Amino acid sequence: MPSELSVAATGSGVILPLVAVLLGLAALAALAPVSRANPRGLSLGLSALACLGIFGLGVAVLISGEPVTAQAGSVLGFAVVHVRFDSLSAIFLLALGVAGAASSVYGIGYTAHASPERDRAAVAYPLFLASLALVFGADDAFAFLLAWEVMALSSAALVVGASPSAGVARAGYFYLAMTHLATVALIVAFAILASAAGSSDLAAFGAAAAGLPPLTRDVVFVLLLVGFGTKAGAFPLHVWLPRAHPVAPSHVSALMSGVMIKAGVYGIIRFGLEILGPGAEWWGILILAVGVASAVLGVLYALMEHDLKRLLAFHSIENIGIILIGLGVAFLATGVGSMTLAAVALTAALFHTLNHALFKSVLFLAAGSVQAAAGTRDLNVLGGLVRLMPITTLAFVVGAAAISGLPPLNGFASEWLTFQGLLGAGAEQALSPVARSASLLAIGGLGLTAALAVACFVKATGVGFLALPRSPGASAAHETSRWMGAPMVALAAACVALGLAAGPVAAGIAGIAAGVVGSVAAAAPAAPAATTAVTSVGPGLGGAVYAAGAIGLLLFVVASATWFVGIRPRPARRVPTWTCGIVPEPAFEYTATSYGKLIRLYFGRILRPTREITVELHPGTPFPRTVRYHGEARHVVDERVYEPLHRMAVGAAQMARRLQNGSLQLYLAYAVAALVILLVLAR
Amino acid sequence: MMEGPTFAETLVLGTIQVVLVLLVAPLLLGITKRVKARLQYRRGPSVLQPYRDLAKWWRKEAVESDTASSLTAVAPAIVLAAFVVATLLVPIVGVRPPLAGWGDLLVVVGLLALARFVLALAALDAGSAFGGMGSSREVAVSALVEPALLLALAGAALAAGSTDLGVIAQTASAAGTAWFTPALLLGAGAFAVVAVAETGHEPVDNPDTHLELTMIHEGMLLEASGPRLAILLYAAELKLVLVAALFAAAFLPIGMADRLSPVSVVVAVGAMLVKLAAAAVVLGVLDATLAKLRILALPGLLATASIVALAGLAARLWLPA
Amino acid sequence: MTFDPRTAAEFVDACAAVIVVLGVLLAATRSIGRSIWMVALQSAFVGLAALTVGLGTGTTHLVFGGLLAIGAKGIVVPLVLGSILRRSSVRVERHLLVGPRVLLVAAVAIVFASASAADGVSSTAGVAASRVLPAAISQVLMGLLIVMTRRKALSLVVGLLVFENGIALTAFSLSYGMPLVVELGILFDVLIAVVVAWIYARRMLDVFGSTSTDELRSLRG
Repeated sequence: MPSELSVAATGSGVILPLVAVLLGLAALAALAPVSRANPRGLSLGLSALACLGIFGLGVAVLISGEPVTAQAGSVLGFAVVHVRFDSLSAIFLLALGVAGAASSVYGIGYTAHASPERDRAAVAYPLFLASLALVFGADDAFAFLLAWEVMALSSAALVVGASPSAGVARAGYFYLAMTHLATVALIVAFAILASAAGSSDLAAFGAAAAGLPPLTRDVVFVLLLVGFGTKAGAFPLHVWLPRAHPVAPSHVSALMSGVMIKAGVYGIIRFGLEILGPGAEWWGILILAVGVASAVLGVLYALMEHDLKRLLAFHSIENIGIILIGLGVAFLATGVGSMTLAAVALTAALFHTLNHALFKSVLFLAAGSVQAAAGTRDLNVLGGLVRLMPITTLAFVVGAAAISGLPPLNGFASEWLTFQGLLGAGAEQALSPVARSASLLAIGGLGLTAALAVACFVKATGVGFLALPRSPGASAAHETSRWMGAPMVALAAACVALGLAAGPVAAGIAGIAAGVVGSVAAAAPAAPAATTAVTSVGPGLGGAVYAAGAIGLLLFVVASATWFVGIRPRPARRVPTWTCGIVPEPAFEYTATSYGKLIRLYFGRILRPTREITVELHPGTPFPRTVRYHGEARHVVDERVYEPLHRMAVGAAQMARRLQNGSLQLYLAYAVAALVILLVLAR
Repeated sequence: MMEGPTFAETLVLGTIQVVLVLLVAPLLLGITKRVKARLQYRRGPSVLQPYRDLAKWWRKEAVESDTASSLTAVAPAIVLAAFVVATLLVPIVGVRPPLAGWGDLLVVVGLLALARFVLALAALDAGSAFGGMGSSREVAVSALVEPALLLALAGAALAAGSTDLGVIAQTASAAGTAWFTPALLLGAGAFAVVAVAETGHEPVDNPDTHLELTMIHEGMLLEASGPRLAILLYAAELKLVLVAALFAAAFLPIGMADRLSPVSVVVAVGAMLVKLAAAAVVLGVLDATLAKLRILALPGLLATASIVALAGLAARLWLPA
Repeated sequence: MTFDPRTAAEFVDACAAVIVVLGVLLAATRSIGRSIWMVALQSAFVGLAALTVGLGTGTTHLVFGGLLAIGAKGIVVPLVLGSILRRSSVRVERHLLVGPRVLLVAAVAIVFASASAADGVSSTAGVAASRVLPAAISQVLMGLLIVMTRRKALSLVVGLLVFENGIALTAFSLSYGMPLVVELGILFDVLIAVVVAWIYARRMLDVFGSTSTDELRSLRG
């Protein structure tokens, strides 16, 4: 088989092969452990270096403005590796590089404690990283699908580990099933596009898509949305996320939540927006609706969780919803040719993608540290970690503030841009009143999401880290190793830095977004691309800006002044908490479940909570001895959609089983019947 | 573009605004309490009492729980900083805010969220049930308030074509009576309900209650004492000014100065004092005449506010001009 | 006595706006007493609008119709309904068929739907006021909404009155009102309906002890 390896770009000629070599070495190192004390340490270290290389590649592409291409290997005329990293890919590569490096370094410390059985799947880790990079750069449909499959399989292997328990195995199967359903949708969509284009090259797809009849374009769009939406974790295709993310090792969860679900976002932008081009208005409204539903429901279900990692998994769904809201506006805007608005909305979506990779990784890594140190991830029995694990707590608080969209951190900047996109769509005269109303409704939805996210993270941080420990495990916690602490702190610092420097960063991303929108505009009437001021984020509606750095500085100055004048000179006397005269104990503190009670009542019609209280009395008396409470929110989509589908599938499989009753004669009869039918048809 | 105040004029007007707002904030609370007392056939405390209260709390010793972390010490500073910066972003005296071009109404809403996050988190630091109670209720009620707040302000922003509060105020002053369309009035009505909820007055919250079971905002302040409590109480008073100023800037922007002349400054300062005092009086009347709604009835009230705000937005889109 | 037609049109527009607002409030309120005086006020405004149009254009039968509306529907009928209310023990519609928030959304939606529906209709002979026809259509639908979602007999009568207000408003926005005979006839119908409702309410109170129309379901063949 002819195999060629060619790299063409200025300055990045060394990086791509270097990254490939490092990842290969990492895979080998995982198979043949070098050191006894930390068998996977070398592999993870090499992976970390490779991620830094990927980050460097992204930076190089952005600085030079030239895409990097490479081709390697071909099977039956289909390219195996055929990549073209342009500036859109570069943003996702940046996210991959940072999150990957942090997770790998964290993993060095994390797997030192982990059981050796789980580690045997560690060879999948470098494969996972490689496949992610290939997905973000694939220039050929076959190469894309190949990388997509490898990504799915390697992440499933990492989630499940080498010898999993029954629950973990089920989660892995569920994840594999859903991701393959998504892949089927993608294959059909790509097949339609490829048959219209005559080749599997993405460049040809773009040209061919413009010539497709509208109904076919609609069908392709829906298939792409289903396929990429499942990977992204959009409602109602999100059900695999809360099952798979909590059971994976923490550095893998961070990578999955921070980067892998963004592959779905990348797919929607690349294939839906860039390749399919401007579409009907209902496309944008559908994405907007899916985004709002994911955002609101994601955060509501997160509020009902007391498993820290499941809570974070639902929050990933919420943030994907916010990204989809931005994308929905971008689709609406390109549909009517309002390119400035499209650029603003796309900037919001891309910026939030980058931000989410950062703060979600911090949160998952911190959750992993907590689980390793305290032995549990149930918030209801944690607490008091602020004194026992101060660095982890600080990283978690910063991550929580960032994800809640509080100024001056990075989450607020991208949410500000998303709001501006929605307002712009509401004001855009070229859109129909229905689309404008949808955007304005989405403002209410996004506001609700932001406020509920604040509630959820006050709960997670306050109950999990503050006050007194609620269990012996939590009291015995101690700060984790430096390998685990350093990446968390670095990512948290990055959140702060990106928040304060949001102006220049948003301007840079806006340039990329304008490029993407401009290439869409090549198929539709062109309009000037967005320009942004460099020191502030913006401009939004009517020229409004958000001077992130200035506001952050002013907040710091005023807060410090207040602290130096009023708080520092008057240190407080520490006394036991007043609990109406009883000796204070952890049982007085609010738990995660009780904290969410009012929201559970307010949103009861959506959450449909169930509650079971069993009381055991002292024998012969009416006085209770133990009271047991069990409550949970019912996941309506799981119950009403997936369970019946699951039962139908199993039922159909049972029926199909009857076809295989083991009789050799029957199988021969099948063969003869098939032959006869073929002969009849071939006539 | 419309001509507004120059940078130097904005600076001077802004300084006047800052000084006045910081001085006047506790007075508004005094007016509210006095009005409420009079309506209850009491004489009531002097309107200057909140100043004396702040001084009293400043002199007292600070006491904190032995389970508290450094968050309890830092929280009052962050909360006050958030409200101070937010107040600087809202135009009250001049038609441009003191920090013109630093942020718009979304930043103000974000700063309110920052203050709420820090305060709710600090309430859980002491490990007492009261803090948890106040904290969980506050975040739940705020979740209902936020959509109505954003939708009401979005109506004003769309009418003016910008989210920048200075531009909204300038557009509104220039438009005169044509500003008060039915759509805007609906938004103003929704914002009025939101304002009552945000400042924690009847019928959403009882600011004078000492029963833990009926507290929302007060529950988060229970563990604070000494200078920290003074800072938090002052921050709450500043929040009242902020919300009233936001309402005035978006829905009732009359009397603001668009240039630096003695007449316009006097008129603007007078208008500001009248507007703030009117807000305080209205809250006092509400405190005295309405009973606190059951906490489970709050979604009904706030959903109605959201629907009214949405009706305002829909009116802008669907009703012919 | 004649008015300047433009101010008359603006005044009629303002009346129409008040009528719409009252209609929305009527749809969402639970209290029967409040809804009675609100529908009285609404009828008074309809009469006032008719009066203004009549005085402005010199159409005497409109003037009479307006005064009759204010007198009969604005004063007499509410007094009768109020007396029935005083006698029954129930003052509030406790179990609406859908929640008050949903009713509010439905009412607002009706207003907007009527506005867009009335966009295409141009009145040739009617009043110059442009807001009256959408208001009228919305009140017709509002009356139907009220009737469909209430259980108490008195509330159903209130809904009927709102409906009738809408019809009257439609009539004189599309033409100079209906002939006096027709107006009187409709008014008489309403009065008979109210009297019948009064008799029924007393009978229902005597037999069932409540005026909830759910009780009527037991009257099966």
